[in-house]
Amino acid sequence: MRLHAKPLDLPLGSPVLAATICAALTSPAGYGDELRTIAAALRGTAEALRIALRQLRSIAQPGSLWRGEAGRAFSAKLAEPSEVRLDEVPARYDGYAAALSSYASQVDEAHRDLAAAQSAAADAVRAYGVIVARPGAPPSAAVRDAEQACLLAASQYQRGYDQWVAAVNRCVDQLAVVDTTDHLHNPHGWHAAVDAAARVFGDMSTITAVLGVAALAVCPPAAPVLFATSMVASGVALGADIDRSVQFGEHVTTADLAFDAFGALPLAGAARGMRSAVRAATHAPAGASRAGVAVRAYGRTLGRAYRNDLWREPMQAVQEGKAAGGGGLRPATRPMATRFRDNLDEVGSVGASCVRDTVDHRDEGYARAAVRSPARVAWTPVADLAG
Amino acid sequence: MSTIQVDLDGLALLAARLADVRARLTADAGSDLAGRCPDALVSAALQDVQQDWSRKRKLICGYLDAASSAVRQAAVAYATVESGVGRAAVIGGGR
Repeated sequence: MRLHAKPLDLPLGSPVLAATICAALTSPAGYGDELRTIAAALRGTAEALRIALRQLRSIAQPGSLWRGEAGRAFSAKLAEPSEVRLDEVPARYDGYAAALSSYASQVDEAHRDLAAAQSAAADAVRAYGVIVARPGAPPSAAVRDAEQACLLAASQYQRGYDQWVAAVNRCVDQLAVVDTTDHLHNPHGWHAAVDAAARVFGDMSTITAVLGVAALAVCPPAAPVLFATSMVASGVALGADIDRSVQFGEHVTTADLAFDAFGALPLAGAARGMRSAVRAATHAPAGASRAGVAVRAYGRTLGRAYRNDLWREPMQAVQEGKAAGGGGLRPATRPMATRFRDNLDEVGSVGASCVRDTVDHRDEGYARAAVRSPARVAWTPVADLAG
Repeated sequence: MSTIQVDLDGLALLAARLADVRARLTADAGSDLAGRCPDALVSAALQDVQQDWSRKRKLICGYLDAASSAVRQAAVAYATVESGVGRAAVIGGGR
């Protein structure tokens, strides 16, 4: 929680009391020099880090003077993980230093003003005391003048104090701004929730997928429910990871996103979709865009697969389980096994084509070839036909 | 023609510099920075913002540790190699 100084509330309706309070208050000391020393140390740290990073990068960068295995190993050792965000640290320290330096000059000025006003308030209270302490009724004009002096000194003190309050609050706010503008701060609020969701749903997706595979052997009716849960969890994790990356600049690797997307996909449906897309594109009416027809066919098949995997199959499994009642889960086993065998055949057939295509295009590099292979497997027959 | 240019003192200095920055970041994470500040409100604000990047600071300090240690080891390894080559180059030194 951010703390702020509060403006001074003096009873200016009673000038003597107000001036007495001012004279007794502890004013902020003139610690500008100490703040400047801290600011200088912070700038020193920022600069030291900048120099060290420059040197480190100059020796670690590829293509430098040092070539060969040892140089490569050394560069790999010094490679900065992108989530570290080292470059933002000097800026953060400079931000602290700027806030403290700006406040340093203001606090010195406030100290001078407040000391002068406090001394004036003490003098005014003392003068008033002398006047009212005289024997006999004090002259009203003298009392009025003394009260006026008290009011003037108290007002002056209050103005100075409020200026100091504004300055210290500005410094506190400036420090908070430094904290929130970079990507170094810990996650809070929605950011923390999205981080936690990505972690929890990612784990949940993996666990339910593993349990689903185990259930195929042990308790088949549970498998569709577990696979559906795994898909939904992967979908949520994918959304959370995209949000973390786009909105909060978190380091999310392509592999993370690909893993989430893979988990959120009904694999058999995706494979079947490729076949439908190819079929639809090859039989596209004249004048129609083959790509458009293929995408629509793919979307339709995938939509059906989602509906089946997320709703129909789990519901069917539950109903079969209920129908089996106390008789165990055996009645559900056969149709379930048939469905999964069909799905595996579908995935296996398209998967094998993708693997073959990846090997054929290995000169692109295996990773790139693997990413491109589904599109090539789907589109090559259509392109051949068109050619 | 290959050229090898190694500044051993520079490497040692860089290792020390990285370790020094790491030590400063760690010290600032504790009460050092906020404790030096004479103003209670500013001190509290500094402590808040310093605590608020604890996770990334931990990663950064880990990286600086690893980098400092790698650079120091490289400096030591090169010094060892260089002194060995130097000894071998002296006539009869290799025997």
